[in-house]
Amino acid sequence: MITKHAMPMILLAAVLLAAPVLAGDEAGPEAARIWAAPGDVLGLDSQATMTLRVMDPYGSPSKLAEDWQLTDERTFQGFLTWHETDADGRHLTFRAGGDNDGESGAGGLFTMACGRPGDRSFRLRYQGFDHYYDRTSETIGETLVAPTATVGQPRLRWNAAKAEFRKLVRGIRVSGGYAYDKFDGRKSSLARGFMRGGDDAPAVYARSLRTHRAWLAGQAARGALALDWRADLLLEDGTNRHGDSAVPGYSDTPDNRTLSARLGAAYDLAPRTMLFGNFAYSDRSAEPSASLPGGDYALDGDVAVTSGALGAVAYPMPGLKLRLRGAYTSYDIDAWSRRGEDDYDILDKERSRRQVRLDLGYTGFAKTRLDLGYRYDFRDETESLTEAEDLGGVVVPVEDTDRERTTQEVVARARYKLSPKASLRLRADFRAEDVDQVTEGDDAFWLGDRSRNRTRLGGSLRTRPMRDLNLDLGYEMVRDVFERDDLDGVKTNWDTDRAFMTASWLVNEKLTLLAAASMGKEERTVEDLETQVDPDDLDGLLGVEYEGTTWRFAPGAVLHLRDGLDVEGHYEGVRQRDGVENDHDRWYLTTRYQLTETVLVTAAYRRLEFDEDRWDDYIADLYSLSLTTRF
Amino acid sequence: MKKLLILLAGAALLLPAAAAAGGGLTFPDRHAVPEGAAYVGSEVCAECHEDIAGFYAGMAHDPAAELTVPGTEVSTCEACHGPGGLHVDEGGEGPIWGADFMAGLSADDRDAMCLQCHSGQKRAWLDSPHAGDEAGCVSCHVDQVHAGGAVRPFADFRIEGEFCLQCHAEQAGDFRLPYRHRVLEGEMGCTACHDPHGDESGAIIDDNAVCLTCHSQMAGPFVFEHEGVAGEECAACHRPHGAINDKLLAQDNNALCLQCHYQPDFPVVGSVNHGGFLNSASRCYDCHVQVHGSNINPAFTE
Repeated sequence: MITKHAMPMILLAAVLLAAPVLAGDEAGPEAARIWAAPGDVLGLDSQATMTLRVMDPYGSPSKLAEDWQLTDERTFQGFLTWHETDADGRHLTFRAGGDNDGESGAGGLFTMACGRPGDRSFRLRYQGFDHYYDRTSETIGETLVAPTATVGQPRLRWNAAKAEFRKLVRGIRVSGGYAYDKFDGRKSSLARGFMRGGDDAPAVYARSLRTHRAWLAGQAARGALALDWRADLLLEDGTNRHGDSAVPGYSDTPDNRTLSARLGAAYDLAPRTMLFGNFAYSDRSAEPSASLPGGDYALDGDVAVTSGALGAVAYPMPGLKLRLRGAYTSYDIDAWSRRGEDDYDILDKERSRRQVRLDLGYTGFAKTRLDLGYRYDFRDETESLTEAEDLGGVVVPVEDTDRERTTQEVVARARYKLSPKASLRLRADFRAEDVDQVTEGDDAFWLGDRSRNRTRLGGSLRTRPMRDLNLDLGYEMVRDVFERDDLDGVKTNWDTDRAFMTASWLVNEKLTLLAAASMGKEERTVEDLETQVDPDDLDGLLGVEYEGTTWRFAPGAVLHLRDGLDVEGHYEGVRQRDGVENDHDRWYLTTRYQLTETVLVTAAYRRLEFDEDRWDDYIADLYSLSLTTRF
Repeated sequence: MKKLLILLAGAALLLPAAAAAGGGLTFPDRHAVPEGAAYVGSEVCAECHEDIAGFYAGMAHDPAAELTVPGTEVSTCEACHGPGGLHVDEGGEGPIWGADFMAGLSADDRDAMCLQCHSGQKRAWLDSPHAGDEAGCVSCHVDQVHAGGAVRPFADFRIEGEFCLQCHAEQAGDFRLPYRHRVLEGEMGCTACHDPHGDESGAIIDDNAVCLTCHSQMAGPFVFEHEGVAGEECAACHRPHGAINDKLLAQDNNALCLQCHYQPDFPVVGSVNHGGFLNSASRCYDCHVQVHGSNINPAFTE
C-alpha cells in the first residue's frame, strides 16, 4: 500500500516544488475539473481526440466495476465533435464519444443538432452504457471474510434514444419528440431474501424494461396573452424477474400507459402585474401480469390525476415583489390483483391536494436582498382495501384508512453585500407536518397520528480577501423530529450538520492552487430509548440508531510551465465513518503539451483507491495518452 | 365535481385573458422612455455598432434578420435598449439604455426583455424556481446576448451537467460520492430531472414524477401502497445527487425504516416481533423486498 501511494505523492510534490522555478509570464490557467477527460472543454471548435488507457488493477474487480464502470486493462476511447454554420445561420453540430471498455465492448453517446436560430431546430441523441453491480452485499458492519458472491457480475445495459424538434409556424412555436429507453440485464439489490443475513449474496434482479415516450407541444402569444400546451404519451412494457434469492420465481410483465395533457396561460394584467395558471390531466393505466411459484396473478390499476393552478406576480412598489400561487390536484386510484379465478384484492383510493405558496422579495434596503416564503400543503386521502370473489360482487372489508396530511413551511433568506469583495447569505426554514390518520383493519404496519418538524439553518460567506484569492465558506444545520402520537412517547431525532470550504488562489500568472473541503455529520437517535425497551433486547440488533460522518477534501494545483505546456495535479479524499470505516482516495496528474497549433498531446495518471479493510478493497492505476486535433 | 371546479378555474383564467388580448407590452413599455425618442430599427444601430452586429451574425438575434417583437414594429436592438431615435439624431450622444441602465435592473426586469418575444415560455418561467431569483435568462444564455456573462456557455462543455455546476458547485461534491447519478460521467444531464425554464417538459408536476420517469417499476399503481412512497417523496429515503450508501440511500442501516416504524415495544414492529431477524444481521428490506409497493402482499414481502 505504501508503494502504491508513494509514486503519485512524489510526482505531485515535485510539480508543486518546481512551480516557482518554472513559472513564467504567461496567463494563469482556469480552475480545473478533476473528473474531466482530455478535450472536455470544446466550444464550437471541430476536434477529435483518441485516447489509449491502460489500467493496472489490484483488489476487488467487482467493487471497482461498480464504482467506476472499469473492467478492461486496455481501453480505447474516442471523441469527435464537428460544427458548421453557414452565412444564413444554419448550423450542424455532431458530437460522439465512447470507449470499448466492458462486456458489451462499446459504450458512449452521440448527439446531432441542426437548425436555423429563430426558425427551426432538430436534435438527436443516442447513448448506451453498462452499469455493473458489486457481487457481494454492502454489509453494515466489519466483516473480514468475504461474503457469498453472486454468480457472475450483474450488468445492466441502459440504451436510450431521443429525437426532438422545434419549429416556428406563423408565430406559434411547435415542438415534439420521441424518447426510448431500455434497461436490459441483471441488477443486484440490497435485499438478500427471507431470513438471510450479512454473509449471503445480494438478490439479483433480471430486467428487460422498455419505455416509449412521445410528446407534442406548442407555445403562442398574442398581445398580453401567452399560451402553452403539451400532450404526452408514455408506454412501458417488458419483463421484470424479481430477486433470485429475495423473491425466487416471481416475475411480472409491465404493460403501462400514461396519457397526459396540459394547457397553460400567462397574462400581462398591467405593466408590473402578471397572472399565470395551468390545467392538466393525466391518466395512467397498468395491466401487468405476475407469476409466482404458487400461482399467477392478474393485475389492473388506474390513476387519474386532475390539477389546476392559478398564480400572480406583482410589483406593488419599487423593490418589492409578490408572488402568490394556489393549486388543486385530485387523484383517483383504483387497482386490483387477482389470484386464481375468485380471489381479488381491491384498492379504492381518493386523494385531493390543496397548495398555496406566497413569496415576498424585497430589495429596497441598500446592499440587501430579503426573501420570505410561506407554503401550505394539505392532502386529504381515503383508502379502502377489500377482498371479493368477483369484481362488482360482494366485497369483504379488509382495511379502511382516512388520512389528512397538513404541511406548512416558512422560508426566509437574506443576502447582504458586506463589501465589494464579500457577500453573506443566510437561510432559515421551518417545516411542520402533521398527519391525522385512522386505520381500521388487519394490516399490521400502519401508522396513526404523527408529526414531523424540521428546522434548517444555513449560511455562506463568499469572499475575495486578496485580488487573486477566492474563499467561500458555508454551513448548514438540520434538526428533524418525528413523533408518533399514536404510540405515546415515541420520538426519533435526525440531526445533521454540514460545512464546506472552497478556495482558489492565482499565486502568479503560472500557478493556481485550489482546495475544497467539506464535512457532513448525521445522527439519528430514538429519544428515551432505554425507557422504552429492555436494553438486553438490543444486543446485536442492527440499526436502531445511526451516526455517520463524512469528510471530503480536494487540494490541487494547476501549473502553466511555458507556452503550450501545462501540468495539473489533484488529490481527492473521502472519509466515511459509520458502521464501517472506508476511505476513498483519488489522485490525478496530467500534462498537456500543445505540439502544434492544432495538435495537443495529453498524458495522464489517475489512481482510484478504496480502502475499507475488507474483502472489497481495490486500487486501480490508470495511465492514459491522448491525442487531440482541431480542424 | 372537483374536476368541474378545476375546469371552471381554468376557464376563469383563460377567457377574460383571451378577451383582453391585443395590448401586448414590450420591455420599453415598462420603463420611462426618453421623451421624443422614436424607434429606428436594428439596421440603423448596426451601422455604427459593427462589432455588436458581428457578434450576432448568423444568430437568432441577428439584426440582419429584421426581427421585431411580435405584434409591434420594435426591432431586436431596441426591444432591450429602448427607442434609439434621439441617440442616433445626436450622433451617438443622445439617450439610450446602455450598460448603466442594464446594471440597475433586477433579474425580473432583465427577464422581461427576453419574455416579450419568448412569451410562450412566460407561464412556465413565472412559475419556475429560477424566476425572480438572482438568476435570469442571460445568466445561462450568455452566448445569446452581447453583454457577456460570468459562466461559460453551454456549448463549451462535452459533459452537459458541467454547465450547471458552474453555479451549483455544491452538487459537484455529491456527484463525486461513491454512489451517484452519473452526471459527471456524461450519461445524463441536470435537465434529465430539472427543467430550468419551469415545468415545460412534463404535463403534471408531482413530487415523485421526475424520478418515476426512469424508475417506472416503482410508479405503480399498487394495490398495497407504501405510504412512505405514495405520501412522502422519494427523497425521504434517497439522496438523489449522490450518497455514501448503496442505492443512494440516506443511511445504510435499519434506522432508515425505523425512523417511522419504531415503537415502544421494539423489536416488535406492527404486531410482529422482529428480534430474531434483526439479530442475524438482516436488513428490513431483506424480507420486505417490495418496499416501494406490492400487488400481492400488504407487508411487501413479495
